[in-house]
Amino acid sequence: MSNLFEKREFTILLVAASFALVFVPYFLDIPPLMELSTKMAMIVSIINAFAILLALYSQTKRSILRVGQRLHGWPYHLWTVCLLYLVAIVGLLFGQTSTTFLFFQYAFLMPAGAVQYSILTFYMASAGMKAFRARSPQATLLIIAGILVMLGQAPFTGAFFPPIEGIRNYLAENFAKAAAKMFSISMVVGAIVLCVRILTGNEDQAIGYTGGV
Amino acid sequence: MTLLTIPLIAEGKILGLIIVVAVFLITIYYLTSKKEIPIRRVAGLDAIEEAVGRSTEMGKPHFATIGVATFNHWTLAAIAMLEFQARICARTETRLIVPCGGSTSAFITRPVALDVVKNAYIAEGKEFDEIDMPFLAGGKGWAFGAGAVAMIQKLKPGGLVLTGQYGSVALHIAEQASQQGVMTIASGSYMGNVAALACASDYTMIGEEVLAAGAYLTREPAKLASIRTQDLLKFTAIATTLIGILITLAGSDFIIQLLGT
Amino acid sequence: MKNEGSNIYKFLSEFKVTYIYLLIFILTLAPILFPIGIPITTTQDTKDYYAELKTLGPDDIVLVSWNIGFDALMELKAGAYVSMRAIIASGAKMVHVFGHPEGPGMFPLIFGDPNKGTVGELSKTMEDHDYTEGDDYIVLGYIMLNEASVVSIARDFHNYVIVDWKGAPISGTFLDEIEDPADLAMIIDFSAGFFSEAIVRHMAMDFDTPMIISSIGVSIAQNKLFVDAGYVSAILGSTRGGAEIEFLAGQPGIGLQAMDSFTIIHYFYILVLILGNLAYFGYERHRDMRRTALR
Repeated sequence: MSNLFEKREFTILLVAASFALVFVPYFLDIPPLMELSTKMAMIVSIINAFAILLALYSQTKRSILRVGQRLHGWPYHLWTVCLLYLVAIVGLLFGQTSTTFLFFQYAFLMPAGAVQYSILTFYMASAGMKAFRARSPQATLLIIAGILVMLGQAPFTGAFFPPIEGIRNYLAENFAKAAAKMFSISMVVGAIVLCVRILTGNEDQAIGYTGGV
Repeated sequence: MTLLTIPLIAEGKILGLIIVVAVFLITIYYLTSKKEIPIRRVAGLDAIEEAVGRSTEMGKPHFATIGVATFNHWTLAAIAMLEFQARICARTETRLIVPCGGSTSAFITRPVALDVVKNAYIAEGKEFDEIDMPFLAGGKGWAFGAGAVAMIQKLKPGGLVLTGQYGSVALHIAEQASQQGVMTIASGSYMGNVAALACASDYTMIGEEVLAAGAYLTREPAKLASIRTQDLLKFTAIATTLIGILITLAGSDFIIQLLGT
Repeated sequence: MKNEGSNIYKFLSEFKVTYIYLLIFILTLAPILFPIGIPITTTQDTKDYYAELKTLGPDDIVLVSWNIGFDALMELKAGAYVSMRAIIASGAKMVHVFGHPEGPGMFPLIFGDPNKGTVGELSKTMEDHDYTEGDDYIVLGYIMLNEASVVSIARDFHNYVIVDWKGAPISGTFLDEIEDPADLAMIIDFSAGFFSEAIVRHMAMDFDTPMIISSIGVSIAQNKLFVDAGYVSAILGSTRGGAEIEFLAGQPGIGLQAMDSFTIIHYFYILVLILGNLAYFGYERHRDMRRTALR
């Protein structure tokens, strides 16, 4: 029986059945199938949530291994696993809205997240200084467009030179949106074609088998 | 606003159903045909082998990523590319490092990626050490990014292939890798990311180039031909847009009704 | 003279990025400490967004989806505060869901927690309008884990969600009136990009529910496609959108405060772009051509 579940064909069949269960009720008006599809979506959602148990196991195992073997960076792993269980216990005992639990969020996550997000500003500046070069006519046009959009984005420019808003809108509504539309279309088509390759067994890597290149 | 309704088919989804079924049939046709269709070179995908080669020559590890999202099309495409890179690394005895993490979904995607890499190594007669697929952090993309950057700064890989779905953390990793002199090949999962990564990376793959990677890298004629379906639909979209412009300028809303059917 | 010119370009080419970082830090901080009061204009997008908020009334129920963590909250909070105040003032009821694990931590910063005596940014507004948890707003918690969760919420709400984030049952509350998204007056999505598509696909598209999005800057182009398609009514864009809506609503706050730095940094970026290209044309291009010639 376990051999059946290990077979590639069985996996593909399972994928195809799951796909059909979502695809068919979406397009065809069959209420019982739609209910079944919704139930399956709920099951997937719950399984995803239980992945947190996988996380606990995986992180604990890895951290204990590194601490036990005193591998490079082991104090950080000790800190990680201690904090992991401390926050989990606090959350379970006192609730996610308790002051104690929120302390960890406000003391660690909030400042770290804000700093990380802000660092992107500096990266864009260094990219502007070092990477954005008008090496070709297209690059030059792109830089000019970028400058016009940034001028339009700065509120002060619009206050003393109103036409910049129109220029910015023109570039955003016509060029940026057109690129985004084409990106979306190509992405969707690529996803459907990828799906067909998976369902026909031509993309084994996606289902965990080594297809071979 | 629809042209027609058909019993049993949900309202407003007839055209969508036709398009999806058509794409299915055309792709299956190409997959089963013996046609050899020329596909343009995708610089980013061709550069993957070069990046691994660079790592091999420098005696440095090669970094690959699969993104921080759940099993969506980006992650699947990234896993296909990961398998390709794993095979080359195993063949050339280059150390492959695949930092994982960045979201709660990464707990599910990592075991699959690990399986794929291990199988690829076994196929080449080698063994993959699980320690080279570290789980950096779950639930927080920035924590993963910080960990990946720290690894890049310490190990200074020869190449980095940054694929899968990322938020802004991709720029963080790509920029740091670029500053360390790492050859970076990146793909953006949304427009804003593509623009930012294009500045920080040596090669950028845009949109469907990533999704076609699994077929492109195998170089199998049937799989390459399936990429033609993507082009056909894009040509159809372009034609629909042009015809739609003309029809709408003529004062008719036929095309809008058709697309809403 | 020729040497001095090429030295300037060489200087620009070799200018360390750490000094750029330092300048950015100073130029961001200084206007916050010493406000200038640079004027601001409002865009049509923000006006549309505000107009949508103004359509809400006491009989309406709004789904507020927080798909952001602390990081993106920094960018969107100006707009979030004004949006929430507008809804509270209209008397519409809210149901809050989180699509990010940091949502439960973020929420008390905004709404406070009356049970624990925590004061949030909107505590005073809620007090003034007698807007209370349970009667006027319910928080369902981090229930939007992935697209499957969005599907479950849209199609089978009362089987998927039974209790709120504190464990109190939702039956017997105003949520009894909600069978599916068609019963909602509006969906407001505070988005860092990942979940907006799922909500548009499974709620706005399938149930024709009006939806507005407050989006981070990099996702605006992507989210505007939904506006074009008619599934999303309006988009509030990033920090500038937050400042504009503060101006429109007459509620000056952190958004408008940030506009001085915002403007200066934008001009600084343009300067950096121009200087970088001057360095390229004045020095790097010739250097590279010399290197090629020598080979």
